[in-house]
Amino acid sequence: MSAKQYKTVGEEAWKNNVEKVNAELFIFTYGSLVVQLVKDYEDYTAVNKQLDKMGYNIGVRLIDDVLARTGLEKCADFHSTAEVISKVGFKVFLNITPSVQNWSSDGKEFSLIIDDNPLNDFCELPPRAVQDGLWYSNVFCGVIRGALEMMQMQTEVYFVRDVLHGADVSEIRVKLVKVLDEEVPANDE
Amino acid sequence: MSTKFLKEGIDNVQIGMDCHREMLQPGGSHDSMLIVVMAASFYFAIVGTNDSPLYEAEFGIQREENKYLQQFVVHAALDLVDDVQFMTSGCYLKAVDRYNDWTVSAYVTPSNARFMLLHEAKPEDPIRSFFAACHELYLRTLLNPFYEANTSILSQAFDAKVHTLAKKYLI
Amino acid sequence: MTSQQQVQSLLKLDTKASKRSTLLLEQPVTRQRRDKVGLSSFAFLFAEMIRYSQNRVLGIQDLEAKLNELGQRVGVRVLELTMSREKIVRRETRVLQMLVYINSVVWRALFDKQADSLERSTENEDEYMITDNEPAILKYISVPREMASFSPGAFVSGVVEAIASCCQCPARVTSHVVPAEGMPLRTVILLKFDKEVMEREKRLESGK
Repeated sequence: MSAKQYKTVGEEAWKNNVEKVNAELFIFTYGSLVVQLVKDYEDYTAVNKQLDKMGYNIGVRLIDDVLARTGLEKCADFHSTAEVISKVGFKVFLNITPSVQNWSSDGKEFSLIIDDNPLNDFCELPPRAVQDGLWYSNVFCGVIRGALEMMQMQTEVYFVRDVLHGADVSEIRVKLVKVLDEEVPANDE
Repeated sequence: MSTKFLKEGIDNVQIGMDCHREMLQPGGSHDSMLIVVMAASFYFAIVGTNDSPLYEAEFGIQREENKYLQQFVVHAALDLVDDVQFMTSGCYLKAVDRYNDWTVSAYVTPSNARFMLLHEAKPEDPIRSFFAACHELYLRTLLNPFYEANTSILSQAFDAKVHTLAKKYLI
Repeated sequence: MTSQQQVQSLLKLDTKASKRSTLLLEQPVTRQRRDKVGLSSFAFLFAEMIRYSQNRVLGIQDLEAKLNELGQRVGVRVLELTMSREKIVRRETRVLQMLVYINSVVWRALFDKQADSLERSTENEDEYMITDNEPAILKYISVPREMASFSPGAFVSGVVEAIASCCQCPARVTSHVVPAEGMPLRTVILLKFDKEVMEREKRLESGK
């Protein structure tokens, strides 16, 4: 499938196949969770870890949800995977479409560039959070990692820069460490 | 030579508890005679539901030595706010208390943050507009998940904006 | 440094006047810039919040208290935000008007529909019930049988409790699953108002 085709799949699914809820409920709830984690752990590095962990738990379940709503099959290659994440996954769950950029020469790493993260809408980090390196939306990294693990890909997923730290855009790096299953399923396309 | 008189200020000279009157001698490098009288002086406080101030600012002539008095007057006026607030569903409560020649005007937000303004005689409309604009700032501050309701507002941007609003509506 | 002091210093918002800082204070909030996200997003997040909280408490009451706390932070924001979008910004300080506001404006803002009913208890005059026959956010939460009395709606009761507190009508708010014909997730949010609130209401009524 081309990137354009994945985009259409994502948009169709969002339009017809996705129950929706008010974004602000989601945004405020997530904010409340992060603050709770700060109070519980008293350490921003620990909060990052916990957000990633929670994201992972979500990711391993979420993948089935995506596939069910869109009728997509497992991807043939990492390039297609990147397109599915950005144009289908993020679209169906958050109604945003990060762009895929900065591919490594071996095709095993790429970046997701997010310029309109709903979670950031009203958010300003305390200076200590910036100083201590809180990645406010770190849950995304865990979700991607968990979802890809269910697709037999072991990955490292991490924030590289964030609007909340003063950058122009947010950037998540996705790195394929290894394919867990030797057999790569044939692409159904 | 330019001379500047503020009619309001001259009236206030008669009234005020402290007025700073400086007259610069004519001649010299500042070739002007300037009478600085007590023009407009305001003390603004945002008070949380726990009655502690979340934010304070002074506009116009600074009155350092009266800071505690200002806080006291505002705090005393909170009791009246507490009573009056059930009589209306509006946010702007207008003048709720008086102390000597000061008036305390109040505005209460839906989440019960109290905006208190200590001021001399001043028409209601600019004060109402000032309060409403500050409410917009307060709302956006509150929407930040990291801001805990009823804690001090320490944002420099917030402070700068409040002073800009004061210049626009009050001073 | 005590635990509380440590948290305070981590959360201290003594931000410098940056471009973004100023932009946030100027941004329009009147019309929702961004309308929706997938319900699954909320459901997955919510389920994970329950799981996280569960690991830190002993027992259902504590779990509901944790969810209540999470909901309270949402409640105060929802109140101020929805009010700012009303034609006339006002405050609700009377019990019935506040309940109607929650039932209609707040429910619509959160769940895209009004709550299904608002009733006063016939047994206790300080108790009111808001009922939601099909709470969308609970749709994908499955409660294990050994926790049958657990109501995930405790999150929503936190939202309501914060709003009541802001409106000067403090109440103890709890959530109960009361299934009915064809409505297995039917949830009742019960508000029990503080004594001082009822006394004030009586005073204000008789003053009229």
